[in-house]
Amino acid sequence: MPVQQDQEDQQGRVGPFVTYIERVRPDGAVARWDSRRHRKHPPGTPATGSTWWAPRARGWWIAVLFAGGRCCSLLAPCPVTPALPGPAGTP
Amino acid sequence: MPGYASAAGARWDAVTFFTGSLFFTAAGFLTYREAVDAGPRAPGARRRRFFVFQPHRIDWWATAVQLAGTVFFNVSTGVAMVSDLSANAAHQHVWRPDAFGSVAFLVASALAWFEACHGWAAWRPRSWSWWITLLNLTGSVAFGVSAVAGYISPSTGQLHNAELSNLGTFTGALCFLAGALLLMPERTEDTTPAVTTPAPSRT
Repeated sequence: MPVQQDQEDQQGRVGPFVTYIERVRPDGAVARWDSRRHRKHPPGTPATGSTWWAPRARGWWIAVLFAGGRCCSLLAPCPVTPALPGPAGTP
Repeated sequence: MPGYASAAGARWDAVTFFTGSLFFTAAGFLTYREAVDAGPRAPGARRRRFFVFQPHRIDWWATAVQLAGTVFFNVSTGVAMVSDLSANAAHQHVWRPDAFGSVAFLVASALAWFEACHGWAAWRPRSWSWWITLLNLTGSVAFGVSAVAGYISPSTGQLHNAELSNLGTFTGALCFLAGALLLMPERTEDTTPAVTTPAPSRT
């Protein structure tokens, strides 16, 4: 069955937001734009470095900084508890 | 971590938590910039502006709300370092920004889930982004439970349920840590081509 050239875009929507767009090209191929993928893998900028060590890549720093912050949260779950007066602050 | 506060002392416990919040803010800002850079550039602009307003984009909302949440956690954990806080000050400047930050993380995580999964429900265990957004959403719910349980009475200064609050923070941090580590393989995953050719049709 031939693909119709004038086929409209197919969009994924959540409320007012478009999360993906699929467009059938005249040659029958389907081009897809995906919001998260476009953000994490911008066109024309291949991922540099290795998976676990890539200090020149912003995405790597995002992961490392979030992980570092979470490690601190794991160490010190609730800092206000010891500082407060009353039974709740009693060590 | 059980015993850390008693081993390091209450002050260093609070400093550790505050330091963690600074990491979040740095990471939140980079994530926000990632979304800004992925958006359309203003016509004629040579460089992207530092902060932009793009309310039509779900990733802009997700990252901007997350960044705001990290700033609330900066305030909460920063004030918590003060050792002689009054009950009312603890309620106003520790619990309240913590609650706002938790709500912001919940909203941001939900938006990120919608962005990655294109709806309320999805089952894609082979997708890094599915796991990341699921873990972050679960962590945000745990942080929300922690904030509710950690309600500080403005009159007595007592926590509503310190044990549950700690458990929520610990569980949330575990989920967020796993989600953060999975960002690394997601970054280098082999992205399938944006253009796919449909299967040959049978005639």
